[in-house]
Amino acid sequence: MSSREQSPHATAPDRDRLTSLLRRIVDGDQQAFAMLYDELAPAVFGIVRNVLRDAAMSEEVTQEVFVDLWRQAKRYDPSKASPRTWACTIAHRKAVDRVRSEQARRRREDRDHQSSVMVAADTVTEVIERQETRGEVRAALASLSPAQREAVTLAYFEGRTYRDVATLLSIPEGTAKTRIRDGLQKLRTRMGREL
Amino acid sequence: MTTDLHQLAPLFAIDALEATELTQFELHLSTCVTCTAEVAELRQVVAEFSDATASEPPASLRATVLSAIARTPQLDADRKAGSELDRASLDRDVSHTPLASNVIEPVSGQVASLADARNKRRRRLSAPLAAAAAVLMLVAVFGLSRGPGDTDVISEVVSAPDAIVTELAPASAAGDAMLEIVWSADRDQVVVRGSGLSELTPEQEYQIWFLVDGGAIGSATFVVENGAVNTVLDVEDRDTGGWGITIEPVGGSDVPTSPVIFSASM
Repeated sequence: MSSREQSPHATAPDRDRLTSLLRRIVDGDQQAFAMLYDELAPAVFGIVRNVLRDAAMSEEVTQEVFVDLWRQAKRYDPSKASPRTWACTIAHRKAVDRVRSEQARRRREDRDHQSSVMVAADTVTEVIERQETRGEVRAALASLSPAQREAVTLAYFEGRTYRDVATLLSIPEGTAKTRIRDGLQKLRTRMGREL
Repeated sequence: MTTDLHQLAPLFAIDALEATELTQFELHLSTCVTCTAEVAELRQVVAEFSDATASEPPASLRATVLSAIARTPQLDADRKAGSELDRASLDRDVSHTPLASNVIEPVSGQVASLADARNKRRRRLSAPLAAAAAVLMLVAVFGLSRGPGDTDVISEVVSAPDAIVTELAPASAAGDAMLEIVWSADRDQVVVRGSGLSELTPEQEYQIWFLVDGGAIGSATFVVENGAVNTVLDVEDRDTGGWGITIEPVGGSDVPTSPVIFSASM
């Protein structure tokens, strides 16, 4: 499998700049960390907010993400992911952990009323329509079938499990898995061409 | 590994697996280069969208974050060779050698206070505990076993400021079994996570033992589903120098009735 060390937006200069900041951060350089924060905070906060849809909670989790980046800086391995991918992965993971624990709490609190889960926002559509979205990102998302787009939106952008996706869309779990998987593979193919 | 597990890679990459499948897939990932590469690639692909979904956080957050990191020590670089950029490196800090007490690190949260808590705990323990696993002793107080699905409680324990993660070593190198205990003494709870464990008969349960000076004290019991466990158990408020696991009749035993199958000292 080919390794995709370079990504369209995380261009080589972007990656190099962040990597050199991380090198300083490893030495405990807080000023370098402030610069890293300025570079990555909008990306991290955006991911977290899409999943959590709650401003206060999103701030908390964003803070947790950055504290974690600081703590783990010495363990960052540039051969495995770009700094931006590393930060985005941690951001998504922490947001998902938070939203699932909140969901479980709510389910417990109103287990008497079968809680009706809302199919929320069309994040992907919003992204496609945003003016500043780069052409290739827009094209990749637009290449998904409506069913794949819906499944990927719920699973990645909103941080649902495939089982939640199946429930929300009233489709079998196997179908949900397939739609998410095929959607992601298609995105990979489309985005991969620009490398 | 089966094709089925490979097919979970995309779902894992975007955090869309069910909690019960996570441990099993992580174990698979640690030995599968194909899935490791696929997960890395897909994480990069979805990270591409972070520009498009970017959103400025409130300006005040910057100062909050910078003041938080100024109080937070960084973790050392050393970790098990070959570990992946996955959950393991995101939110777990596992002691790699079961007997090395000083590599146990906090899971997250208030790091500074953890060292204090740990030192305090250690001071309250008297003699070395290395031999404790061998000699198992009497008192047994049972915790409540909850089913899987208490993910909020699990994450509360795992992120408790005093949480200590311990990876237990199997007594015999039997297959792929792995087990770890995350202990919050303040909450009197542990999270037990494991996979590749033997299925038990309906009359049996796994039991956790506190290893203390001169013996072991029986604590909570748990069961596995498809060889995996990820659950919270209430445990007693006590010091421990380590953990042991045995298979016991349902409800647990006062003294171990079978050999220790996993153990770790802290």
